Amino acid sequence: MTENALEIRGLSKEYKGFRLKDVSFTVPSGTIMGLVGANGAGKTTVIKLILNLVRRKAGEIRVFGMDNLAEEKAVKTRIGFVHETPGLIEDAKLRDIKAAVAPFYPKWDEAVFARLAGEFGLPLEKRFKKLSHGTKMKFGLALALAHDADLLVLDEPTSGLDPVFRRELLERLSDVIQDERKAVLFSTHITTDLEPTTDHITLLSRGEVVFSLPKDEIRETWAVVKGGPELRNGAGRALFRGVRESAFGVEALTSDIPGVRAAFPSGVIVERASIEDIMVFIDQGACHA
Amino acid sequence: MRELIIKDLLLHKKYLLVLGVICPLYLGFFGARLDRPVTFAAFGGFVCAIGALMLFTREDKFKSVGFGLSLPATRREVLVSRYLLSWALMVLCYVLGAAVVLAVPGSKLGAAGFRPGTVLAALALMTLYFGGLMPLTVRFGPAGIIVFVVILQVLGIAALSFRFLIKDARAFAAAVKAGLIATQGALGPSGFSAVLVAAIVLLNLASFGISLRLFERKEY
Repeated sequence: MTENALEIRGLSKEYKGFRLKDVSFTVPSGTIMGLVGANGAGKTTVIKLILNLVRRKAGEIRVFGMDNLAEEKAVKTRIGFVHETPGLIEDAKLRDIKAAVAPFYPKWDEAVFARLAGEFGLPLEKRFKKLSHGTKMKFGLALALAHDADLLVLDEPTSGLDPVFRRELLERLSDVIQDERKAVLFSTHITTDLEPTTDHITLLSRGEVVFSLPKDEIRETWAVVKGGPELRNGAGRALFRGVRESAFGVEALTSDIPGVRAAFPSGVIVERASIEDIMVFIDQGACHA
Repeated sequence: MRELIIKDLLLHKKYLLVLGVICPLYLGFFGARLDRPVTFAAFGGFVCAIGALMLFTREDKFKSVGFGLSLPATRREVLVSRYLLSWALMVLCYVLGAAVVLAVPGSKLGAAGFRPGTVLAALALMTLYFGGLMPLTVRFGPAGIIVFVVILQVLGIAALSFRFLIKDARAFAAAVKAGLIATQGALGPSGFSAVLVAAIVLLNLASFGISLRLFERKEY
């Protein structure tokens, strides 16, 4: 039986003007999970809750079966975390930051770090504040990979990166899960990052999970339906998660393709929905549907 | 615990080097002009406490607390390491400052200004400053120091506003002083020192307890 690297059950959190509501999903070992959603959907909040950087209102988080609060230290030993904007002491040199971080991890591998530093072109004698955003991300990734983390958690790792390193980073994530005991969770709002790398996708919208499914299942389940006004007004309206009008007619998002085919036997086109389609429809649909 | 202290020493190396030079010179410069050991203890204790606390307010300044908390350590351990490192820094700054005071030609404070009783008084005052400031900086970051100063200002304004109480306050202070002298007389110097050390430890534990509650509630 495959062990789950991460299990989140009924997670809730409240800020002024924002609620994370009953979020549940699992990341099986040997997989890459994309946590996707528009800005403000709650992705970073979920990641902060995993790392116990913020306090939850309700719910449970287990990392390799361990409660992330009761066994916080053991959990964090197995997590490699890369933040969208790595916050480190700005006037510290990379060499010193590496020396400060390494002793925390029993599986720290100096040779791996040296190799990654070479491959990423990290200037170890430079101070952190002198680095570009991309180099800061590379440094954060090198730190996370050098301690052989079993669960890599990356918060918007690709935003602000040039296309070359973005592709390289995504390829490295795929390399990580060659070891089937490991897993990756990365949040993004750049949906093109999801296609080549992820096995599972969890879509968050306004603090709620829309779905958490294997990528192939999303392809088979979700579709954009194109047709005329009958989509907006017909009896099958309840089948849609979002509807919008364009110059060419009416488009709607559905997760019930057989139902749509039955309700609209002719005159509509059913096309596979991309993650971006789903995101746009869901976020707009909540307002206009 | 060791890892946390090493981390802070490495990441704040530059600040610590500056502190290690500036703080003793500052203490020495002003301390050499003082003639009352207790004044030096009060002034030196405050400078040392601020110097140590600034180390951790840097993490708020650079927004690096989140990264620190993503490392394998509990918040309790992080806070214990902060208290231990702060005390090591405060004592080191005070010792180096005292050495500079003694080395300055014409210094009014001689070796008599650093007798065990005076040093213990300096440690007690450091405890009051540091113990009061640490929970505020945990809660408010660098602004915690300003909050502390504002609280002192408000207390000062309140004292001025209620002048009629000052006479009583002075009588109260005199009574406290007399009580301390009487206690010292009853316990003897070593017994009194032991009680003072116990009070220092208890105040630090109380400060730690409050800081921990605030730290565990804080979100990054």
